[in-house]
Formats: sequence, C-alpha cells, structure tokens
Amino acid sequence: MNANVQAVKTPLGPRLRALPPVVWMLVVLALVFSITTPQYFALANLRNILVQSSALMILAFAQTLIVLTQGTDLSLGAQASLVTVLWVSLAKAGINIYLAATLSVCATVIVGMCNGLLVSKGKIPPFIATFGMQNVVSSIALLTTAGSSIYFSHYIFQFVTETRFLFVPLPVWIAALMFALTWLLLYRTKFGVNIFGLGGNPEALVLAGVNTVKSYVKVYAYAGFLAGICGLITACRVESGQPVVGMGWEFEAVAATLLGGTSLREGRGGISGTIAGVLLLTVLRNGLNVSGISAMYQNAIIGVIVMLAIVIDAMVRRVRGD
Amino acid sequence: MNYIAKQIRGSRSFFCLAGLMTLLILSSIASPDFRTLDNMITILRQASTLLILSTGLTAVIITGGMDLSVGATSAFIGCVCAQFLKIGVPVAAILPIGLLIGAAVGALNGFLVSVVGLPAFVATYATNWVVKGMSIIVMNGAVIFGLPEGFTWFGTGYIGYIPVISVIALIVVVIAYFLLQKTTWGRDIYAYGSNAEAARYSAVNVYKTVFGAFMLCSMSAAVGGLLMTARLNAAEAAMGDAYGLQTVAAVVVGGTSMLGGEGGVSGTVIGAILLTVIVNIMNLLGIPSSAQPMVVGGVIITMVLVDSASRRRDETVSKKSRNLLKTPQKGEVV
Amino acid sequence: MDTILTAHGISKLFPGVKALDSVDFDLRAGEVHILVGENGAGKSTLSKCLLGAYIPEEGEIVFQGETMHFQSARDALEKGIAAVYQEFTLVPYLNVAQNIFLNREYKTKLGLTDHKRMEQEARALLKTLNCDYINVTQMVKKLSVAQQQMVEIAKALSFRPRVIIFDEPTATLSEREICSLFEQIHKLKAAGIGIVYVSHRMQEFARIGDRITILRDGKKIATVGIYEKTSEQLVNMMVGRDISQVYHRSENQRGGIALKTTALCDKAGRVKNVNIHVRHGEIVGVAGLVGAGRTELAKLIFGIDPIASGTLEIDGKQLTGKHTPLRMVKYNVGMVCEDRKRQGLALKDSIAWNIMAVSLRRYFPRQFINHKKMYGICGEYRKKFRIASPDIYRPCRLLSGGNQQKVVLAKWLSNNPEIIIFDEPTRGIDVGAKMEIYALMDQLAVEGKAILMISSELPEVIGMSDRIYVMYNGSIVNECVRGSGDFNAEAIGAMMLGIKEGSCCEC
Repeated sequence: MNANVQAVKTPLGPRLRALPPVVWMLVVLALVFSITTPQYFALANLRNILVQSSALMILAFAQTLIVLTQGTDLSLGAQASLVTVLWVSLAKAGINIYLAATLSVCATVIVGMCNGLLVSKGKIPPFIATFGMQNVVSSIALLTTAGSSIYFSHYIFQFVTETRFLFVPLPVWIAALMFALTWLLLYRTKFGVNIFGLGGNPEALVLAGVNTVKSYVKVYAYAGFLAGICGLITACRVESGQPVVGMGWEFEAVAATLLGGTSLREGRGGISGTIAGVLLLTVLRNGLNVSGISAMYQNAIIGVIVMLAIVIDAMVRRVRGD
Repeated sequence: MNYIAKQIRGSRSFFCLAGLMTLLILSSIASPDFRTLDNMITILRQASTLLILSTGLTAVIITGGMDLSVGATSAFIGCVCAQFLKIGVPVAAILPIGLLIGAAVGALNGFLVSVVGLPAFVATYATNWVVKGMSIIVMNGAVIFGLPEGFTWFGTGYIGYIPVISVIALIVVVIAYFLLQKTTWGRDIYAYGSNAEAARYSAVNVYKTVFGAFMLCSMSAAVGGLLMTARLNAAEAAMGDAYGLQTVAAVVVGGTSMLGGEGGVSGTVIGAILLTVIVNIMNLLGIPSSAQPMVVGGVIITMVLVDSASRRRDETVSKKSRNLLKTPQKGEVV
Repeated sequence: MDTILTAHGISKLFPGVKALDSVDFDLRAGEVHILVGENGAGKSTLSKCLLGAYIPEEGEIVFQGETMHFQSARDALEKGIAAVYQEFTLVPYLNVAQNIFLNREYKTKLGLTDHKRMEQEARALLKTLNCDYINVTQMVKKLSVAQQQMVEIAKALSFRPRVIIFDEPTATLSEREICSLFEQIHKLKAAGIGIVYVSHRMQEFARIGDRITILRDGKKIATVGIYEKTSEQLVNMMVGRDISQVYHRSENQRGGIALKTTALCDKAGRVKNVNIHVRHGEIVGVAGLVGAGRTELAKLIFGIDPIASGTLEIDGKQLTGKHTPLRMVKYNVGMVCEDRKRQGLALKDSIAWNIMAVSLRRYFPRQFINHKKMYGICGEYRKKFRIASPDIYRPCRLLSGGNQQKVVLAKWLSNNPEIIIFDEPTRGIDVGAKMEIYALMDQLAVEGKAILMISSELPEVIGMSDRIYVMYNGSIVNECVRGSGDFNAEAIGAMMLGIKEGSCCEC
C-alpha cells in the first residue's frame, strides 16, 4: 500500500533467484554430465542436443499455450505424425512438395479448430476432447499409410537436416523462428492477451466483450499449426511418413511446459521457461546416451529425475510464495 | 419404484446405458456372430481387465484427480510377479505381493498429490514414467513366457460358462462399490471431489481421502495386472501401455465427471463394456484395426458431448421452473 | 440537474428467489445515488441489470433519453455505463496496462499491441486517481487487493463513461485509500458524471451521497435525500421493522469460558496478537471491515490456517499438537463459514449428503453407512430447519441462498457442537431466513453453547451480540459490552474504520 516504486533495474542476485528452478537443474545436470563424459561439451554434442530438441521444442510451445488456457492437448503428438504421413504421401502422389507441406499443415490447423470447438462450444474437458481427437487423428494417419511407414526421397529432406547457417543446423533455426513468432503472438498481440485471460479470468474476458469461443478455437488452431511444423521437421529427419512417430510427444511437451514454470492454474507462465524444460529432457537423454548408460536403465532414470524436478520445482515455488 | 426410475433417468450414466443398449441391438442386427453366447462370454472376458483397471480409477477421478499411471502400474506389477513366479514363489503369495506393490505406487501418487501439492495429472504422469522404466529394468528387456498353470487359470479358466477373470472383476467392482457408497471414507471421496475446500472445512481428513483413492486405484491396477499376465500367460513391459488412457475413457464415458464429485463404479461398468463391445463388433465386421481408434475416439467425444449438453439442458429446465416461483406456495419459506 | 439514467419496473428472477420486483430507479447527472439494503436485498442485482450484466425479465432502462436493450455488459460500456464490480475482473498474469485496455489494445502500424502507448495512458489514468505508485508494467497478481481495486476503477474510467456504478468499492480499502477514492468521486461528480454507489456502510453515506434508494427483499422501499432520514430510520427501513423485533436476544445464564485465545497471531500477519474469549451461553460478535482479519481469525481458530504464535484454550484446556479442522470438530467446535458456495457446501451433492458431511462420522463411527438411517436423520433436519425443498435428494445448487445457508447450519448442528463460529451467517439471504437464523442463534445460546459471530453488518452484530470485539487491521482495538455507552452503531462503525471520533479526513 505504501509507495513501492520499483527501481527500473533490479540487482542481479534477486533476478537470478527469480529464475525458474529448472534453469538451475539444467546447469547442475550439464555439469554432472561434463564430469562423467569428457567429450560432453564438444561443439558437435551441443549442436546435437539442439537438433534433437528442436522438434519437441516446437511442440512444447504449442502445449504451453494450451496449458496457459488451463487445458492440455493430447492430440499434438498424433497431429505431428499425421503431418509426416500426409506430406510424404501427398508428395508421393505427385503434388508439389511445398504445396503438400502447406496442405498437411492446414490439416492439423483444422484438427486444432475442432479441438477448440469441442472445448469451448461442446464444453468437454480439454483432456478428454483432445484424447478423443488423438484417437481420430492417429487413425487417419494409420489409414493413410495402411498402418506402415511410407518412404520418399527428396532433396529438401537433406537440405533441412544438413544445412547449417552460422554453424547452427536449420531445424534449430526453425525452432528459433517459431519461438520468435509465438513470443510475438503471446506478448504483443490481442491473441496472447486472450490466452492469459482464458487461463486467468475468463469472466473478465466475457465482460470485456471478447468472444471466448473464438479465442479457444484460435489457440488450439495455432497449436495445430505448430504441431504441423514439428511434423514437417520430423519428416525431414526420418525421411518418411510414420503414423506413430509422435506417440507420447504430447506428454513430454506437457512435462517440459510444467518444468518451465507454466502452471495448470491461473494462467501463469510463458514460453521462455519451456525452452529450459525441453532442454532439460534432451540434455538428460543425450547425457545418458553419451555416458554410455544402458538403454534399459535410461527410461527409469529419466522418469525419476523428471519426477524429482517437478517436486523440487513445486517446493521451491512454495518457499518463494509464488 | 418411481424414485428408482427417476434416479436411473437422472443418473449421469443414463446416456451411456442407452448408448450401450442401442449398440447391442444394432450389433445383433448387423452381425449374426455377435449375438452368440460364445461371443457374449468373449466380450465379458475382454471387458474384465479394462473394468478392473477402470474401477479403481473411478475413485481417483471422483476426487477430481487423475491417474495416468494405471496402465504402467498394472504392467509393472504383472512383470514383477511373473519374475517372482519364475523363481518359484508360490501362486498364493503372488496376490499379496502384487497388492503391496500397488499400495506403494498408490501411496507415492497420493504423496505427490496431497502432500507435495502437484496437480494429479502431472504427478501420475511422472509416476507413469518411473514405473514404466522400472518394468523395463525388471524384464531386462525380454518377455517371460510359460507361467505356472495354477496362476494362468485365473486368467484363462472358466467356472461353468463364466470366465474366472470376470468373476474376479465382479468381486473388485462389488468391493469398490461398497467402499464408495457404503462407507464414510467413500462419502469423503465424493465430498472432496465436489468441493475440496468445503470438505476441508467440514473436517474431512484430506490425506486419508486422497491417499485412499490413489491406493485403491493402484491396488485394483495390481489385480488387473496380475490377471493380464495370467491371461496372456506372459509378461512384457509394454503390456499396459494401451490401458493408460483407455481406462480414463471408460470412466468418463460411464458418466463420471472429470471435474469430480459425480459418477460411480456402476457407470464405469457400463463404460468399460461399451468400449469393449465397440471393438468386438468392429472386429466381427472386419473393420481394419487402423480405423478402429477413429470410431472409439468418435464415440468418446459423442458420449461426453451428449452428457455435457444434457446437463446444460437440465439447467435450462430449472430456469423454466422459475416461473413456478413467481407465486410462492403456501407455508413454504422460499 | 438532468436525469440521465432511468429504470422502470425492473424485475429479475433467480432460481428459488425473485431478486428484483418491479423496481424503479433514476439517476441524475452529477449526483451520487446510493443504493442500500441488507445482504440479498437486490442491490447488486439492480446494478447488474443497469449495466447489462443481467438481462431483466421485465422493465425498461432509459439512458440519455433512449430505451436501452443491453445484451451484455460490453453493450452498456460502449454506450457509456461503466462499472466497478465487487469481484475483480482482472486477469492475474497480465500487467496493469494490459488489464486496463483488455480487448481495446492499441496497435502499432505493424498490427502488434502498442505497449508504450497503453502504458502511458494507464499511467496518466492512475495519476488522475493519485495512484502513481502503482507500476503499470507490474503483473496484477503482485498488487495488493486495494491496488487492484484502484486498477479496476482506472479501467472503468478509461471508457470515459457518463455513468459509473460502484459495487461496494470500499470493502477492501483502508481509510486512506477510501479518502482518495471519495476525492475521485467528488471530481467525477463535478464533471457531471452520474454515480450509482452500492453500499451498506452508513458512515459513508453523508460523506459522498446525494440521494439514497433503499431496497428490501427485491423491492424499492423509498428514495430519499441524504439528510432527510437519520441512520436509525434508514436501518429500520432496510430491515423492514423495528430492530428490536428482528433481533431477539433472550436473557440467559453464562457458563464458564469455552473458547479463549491468548496473543494469537497468524503467519501472514493478518491476525496480530488477538486475545478474545467466549463463555458458554454467550454470543460474542466480531465487527470489522472486510480485510480487517475477522475471517482470518476464524480460520485460525478453526485450524484452517496454521497458528504462528499464541495459544488457544477450549474449556480451559490448552490445545497442543496438530491443529486441524478435524481435531477442532473432535473438540466440539463448529464453523459456519463466510462463503457458503466455496467453503460451506458441495453444491453438486444432494441436500442429504451436505447435511451429513460432518456428522456422518459421528452417526456411523464404524464407518459403514446405513442409508435408511441416514436419510431418516436428514429428513428430520430438513423439517427442523424448514429447508424449502420437496425432498432431500436434490443437489444443493438448486436451493435459494437462505435454504443453502440452512443446510450449512444443519450440517454443523447435526454434529451437536458446543462452540460455534458464525462467519457472516446471513450474507445474501432474505429477511425471513435471517430471522430464523437469529432465533436459532439465540436458542443455541440459551442451550449454553458458546457462539462467536463475525459480521460486517453492524445492525446484526449489535442486535445479537452480548459483547463485541472490534477488529481493525488485524488487531482487536476495542471491546464493547451490551449496555455500555459505546455499544451503538456510530461508535463501533468509527472504530471499525480505525478512526477516533472527530479525526475523519476532509472529504
């Protein structure tokens, strides 16, 4: 109540302390791995980590937006798979490869719109609506390829995976571009304001005259768009259309989102933290691989560390009083 | 009698029951193979595992929570017990071991949700990850075959016409029904689910309620996992994967609200049978397995849409009844 | 002065209650028109009808000579009727400027939101409200409740409205902030803006009001000039009969001390060093503004929030160890809480289950529920408390506020507590139900129960209590005993505002 005029520049200490805990965990993890494996900090490995994380990164941005509206989109992984399948099969059918890419991304945007309508108009909990859509979407993907993977070769696949611009491979640049785009949308447009509103106080949006149905549809559609881009990158990496390639990614995206400090309540959070969340998962997986831990143990170790990370995050936030 | 009729009409499972009836009639017309006794028993047997897993989950969803680890937990317990059987642990000791592990996993979930305060969806997802990783370790990446006959009988045997597995499912359902409807703890689950804060103010023991719900869930997952192993006569780390979300679908289609506080085990029975019948008839009609998820997804969405629309209709009905209130009845305090 | 807003014969129905019954209302440019009434009299409903948030079933609204058919609050806003609501309409994780310009974001040439311009204008707006200390780039979540209230007002002003409706704006403000708010209202008045001011705080009326409209049970009782009636007359008009008839307090014997706190503090610093005691057979009131720490005190005693320091004694025994509602119920303490929809009832559950929510464990100590016995008990309580519902199986959300409150009371009284905390026991219910609840409280006191009543309705506290503790800013500032000189609305009202007589600021 008293004059709490804030200094424009907060000192570094408190600002460091205000970082989401996941950043610290990421640092600790990187240190641990650099001790266990000498070649960990090699440029090639760092580049590898970035490339490995780029597809999930884009999907996690999509999931973050949905989580900000207090939902979850379980169909994102299936949507990404669908895009790989559609793109490859359309290209195989002789359609121009760029047109095919556009068309298949359009398909996921439509899926997203359906999700949005089910959630807003149908008033179905997002979890169950998108789970239903996940079934439908993965079914379409399976039907398109008759259940198997389809292969196709085109120079663009190699172009995307192998081109480096300023030492950084193209998929990473695409992920960065998507980050910039999502950031702009989230913090510099009405679309973003409405996302925070949907999560924080939908009543206030209605009173301000916002059409919340439209806002939901837009958010889910944009998530569909990002899932589509993720699918395109994935297709380039695997050079094929694989109907189940994205299975479970939606959950990893949720994990990354939550680790990044976005909350399932109140519309708190943002996409910057999500980057750290995704990196944590990738660094972990990559580190276990590089230090030669048997694949058999990796799943359990990652699970335990993710669980610990989530618990630590919750504890730290409680102590801080967020 | 009128009251019972009204209860059925008003219950949230009504649409699911109506949907199941319609489906049964349509399927009987569409496929002669469907209406045989053999097929009915097959459906019963197929539905049993799903039913057992979803029964415990119902309790968790009534608290307003979620358990994504059901499938992984059941597989994990199946795997561990299969290893125990392999090293010669007697069949009689297997059930207590399974239940014990189930209780431990449930307690972990309960701890993460009620003590640490994580959203149930997140906590159980993490548990799912850990447990799944542990089953891979337990199985050493391989598959176990050839379990003792005394054990597999529970999964494949029959008592008269009825599969043993279905009898066990019935027992699990009856126990869960009794716990939820006839005990104060069951009431606390409903009270906590419909309004957690009010439950706290009403001196409900929150920890007991939440821990209990998660433990019931994981223990029924244990029973389900053991039966799954017995039925397959094999154990594999990935065998529970498909059940992870299917169980949620069975519970929600059965009329239990994801917001908590409403629904019950009886609805879940209908939901689980409905989902099984759909897959059964699709197989009989020769619909390719890649098209089946689409139908299942469509049915889930439709059922929940109808349910949510009907609830909104109920609200408008009560709006209409406002007109009655223009003239308050005599002697009634409005 | 010209009339800018008129309402003719407004009626509005809610499930189980007629909230407004052909109410007429008019507002002149440049006046502050106060709407008063008890909780549930229809003040908020009328103001919501005026600004389009509710669509009335009957009646018409004329604004600046035109008949209006508002379909939403947004419609009214665009025409020039803004509102400051009781519940905040702010998005917690957007900053102040973004909240003020929600859905009216300025855009740069690129089509992106123009943060600079929004921040500038927000800063200017807040400056006119003397609130430059609010940082416009701060997340609303991080602001104090009072600061949020000022943002809310700035948001309303940003529409440059002709009419502003304030719905209990001072409920969460401190005296200093109230002064600066009133200054603003005076400025707005001078600018020719019509102001509807919903409140039930007598002390404020003379400071800002021009006319008062009194509502009771959804009907308009009268519209009078501010100096035409004394506050006693106003209270009588609000309550509808002589206060002595509404509040009946029998003479009865006091027993030993049932509940005693010594230097009780909470962790958040909203309850400071509280020493109170309640005897058996006594009704003790706690008066104070919203945010004075009354509800926090109740929560602290009942074990909802942890005690930071201080002790609690029940029947002379000091409480040690874990302090939870569960334990307090074992000590025969009950609490009828402030917000019955959030903390009192499971609205989806049936009346029966709600009545049994606490006492289930008492009636069925072996944990197995005998449904027949249970429904029998619930039926008895329905009759005893005259809960107006054809059966006990329907969900509580279908009941009116008064009946819901009776369910809450039945829930606690079926557990037969010795000490009962009532937090705002009559909020949002009609006079008939109120009188039943008062009679019940009196009867409970006669039976020797100890009652601690928290309320922001002064007439109620004064009418029912044997003793009153006045709370201000987390501490007990005074204790008034029935019959003593300061046991009246003016004195207690002043103490609640934290001011000593005669020291009120200039406005």
